[in-house]
Amino acid sequence: MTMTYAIEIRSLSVYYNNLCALDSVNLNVKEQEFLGIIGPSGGGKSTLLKSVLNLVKPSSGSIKIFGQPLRLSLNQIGYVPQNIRFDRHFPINVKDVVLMGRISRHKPLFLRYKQADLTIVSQILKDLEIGHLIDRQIGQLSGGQLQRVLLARALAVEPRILLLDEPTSNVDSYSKTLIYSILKELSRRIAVIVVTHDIWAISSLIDQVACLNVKLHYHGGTELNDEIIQNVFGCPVDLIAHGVPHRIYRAHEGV
Amino acid sequence: MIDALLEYKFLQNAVISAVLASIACGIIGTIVMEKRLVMMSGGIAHTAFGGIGMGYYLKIEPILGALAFSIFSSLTIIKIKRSTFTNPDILIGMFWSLGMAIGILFIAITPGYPPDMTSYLFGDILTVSRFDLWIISVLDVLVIITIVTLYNVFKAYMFDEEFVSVSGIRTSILEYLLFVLIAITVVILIRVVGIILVIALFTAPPAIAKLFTYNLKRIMLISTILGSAFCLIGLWFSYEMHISSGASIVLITVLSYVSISITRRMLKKEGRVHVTSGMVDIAENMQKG
Ligand SMILES: Nc1ncnc2c1ncn2[C@@H]1O[C@H](COP(=O)(O)OP(=O)(O)OP(=O)(O)O)[C@@H](O)[C@H]1O
Ligand SMILES: [Mg+2]
Repeated sequence: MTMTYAIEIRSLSVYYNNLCALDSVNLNVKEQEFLGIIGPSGGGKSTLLKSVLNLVKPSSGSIKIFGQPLRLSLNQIGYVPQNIRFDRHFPINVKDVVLMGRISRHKPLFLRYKQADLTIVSQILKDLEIGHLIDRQIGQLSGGQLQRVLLARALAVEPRILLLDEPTSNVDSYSKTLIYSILKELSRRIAVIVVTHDIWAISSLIDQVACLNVKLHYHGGTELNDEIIQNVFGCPVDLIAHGVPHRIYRAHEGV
Repeated sequence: MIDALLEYKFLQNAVISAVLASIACGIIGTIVMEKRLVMMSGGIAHTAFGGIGMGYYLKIEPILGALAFSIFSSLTIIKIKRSTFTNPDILIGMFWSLGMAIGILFIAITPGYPPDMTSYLFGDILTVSRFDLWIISVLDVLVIITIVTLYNVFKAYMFDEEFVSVSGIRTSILEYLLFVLIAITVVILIRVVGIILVIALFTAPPAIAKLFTYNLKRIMLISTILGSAFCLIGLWFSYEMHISSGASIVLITVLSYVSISITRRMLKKEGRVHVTSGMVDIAENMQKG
């Protein structure tokens, strides 16, 4: 019996013009896996997520979602982008932003959100402790509040796969703990993939680590070794002395 | 003018077309403002001039030529933008002038006395014919039906295109559709304010509306009401003073925008004074405490 993975990436390469962002990456993610992706800036982490979301075209290779081609399964994925691409003065409130997560549940023609959608949305907002912001205009939120709203929108999809691109880069440590405990809970049921520079903070929560720097240098348990870190980050002294990987490495050295 | 309105068919046509144009303009203008497509709309409007010239040359209704040209050019602009990643500004600039050039070329090669183009350039709402009115109505209904059908999808698309695409909706279709709607609305407006003045009517009413509400539907509604008011006042001006309707409507529209935003600014400043005095109170209390 062959196992169906939540995500199955086969020798994926992505080029932007002549720049190689990903080079024959193979990666399988199980249905209930909590995967952290680390790697240097420009290592292709965002590109990998965007490929899974069909936002960038791969130059070669294939991606399957639950054994199906991408196009058919986009509605199973929730996504929190790294950068905010929209205008914060756009006339829309928190409720309507989070309701966007429900779009894939309906036919686009005559799409009207139902009471059930609203119930889901207000429950998620409550879980993320931002229920009181439901009628706020999107421009009147703080950076951290906005990040939680974007997470809420991804959760409103009720996804089977959740992709988060540095979801806690903008929030205080309390929110960070809250968000990761919610993600941990979710990862018992669905696949959760987090790109983060904070991996040390969550190394006890995640099941697997992937180290990405154009090539996928490592994918496995959270016990990294020196050699992998050097391979991924290239410049051992500087980055390892000040960067995050040092800590994850050290944290596991003592074990 | 009220007596005249009851008496003259051409004035009735003018009033009806003003209101119809304002509906399409209020809805699409809001989208244009939020999606930052103002210059794109200006470009599409000017390519319509080529169609008007072609209409005269082929002896078909110029407004139909304008419709064909503006739809065709808007679709072409996206097509090129999508396949070559050319900066849309560059494409807009070229199409803008190209459309005008083609129009002038057609008029030059049209045999006989050259037609008067000013009514298309600056609008002449008092000469709206039954046929024009008929076209305007059909196009208006098309715009309204499309937006009602896809309102929530369009709203999401306007806000965050990437997320809509991630939800499995083909955003390229929405983009093409939106551009066709812009082209249609431009054509509706050509009879009312003319090619050159379309942009003001696209932008000012939604911009004013946005000063008062952060609700998209309400912005569209208020823009429609404001647009109608500006057009009707402009129409009255145009009738009484014998100047082109486009010029008078645009003058009224822009003057309204300027005066409303200045008034609002002044009110806000007063508001800020209140806030400061409130803070002084707090500071005093703290000193006492
Ligand atoms: N739209 C684009 N056009 C051209 N090059 C791009 C584009 N997006 C990313 N790149 C390039 O691809 C490489 C990978 O970028 P990517 O955004 O995936 O990195 P990342 O690992 O997410 O980095 P960070 O940690 O800084 O977010 C970089 O070298 C970047 O310059
Ligand atoms: Mg990134």
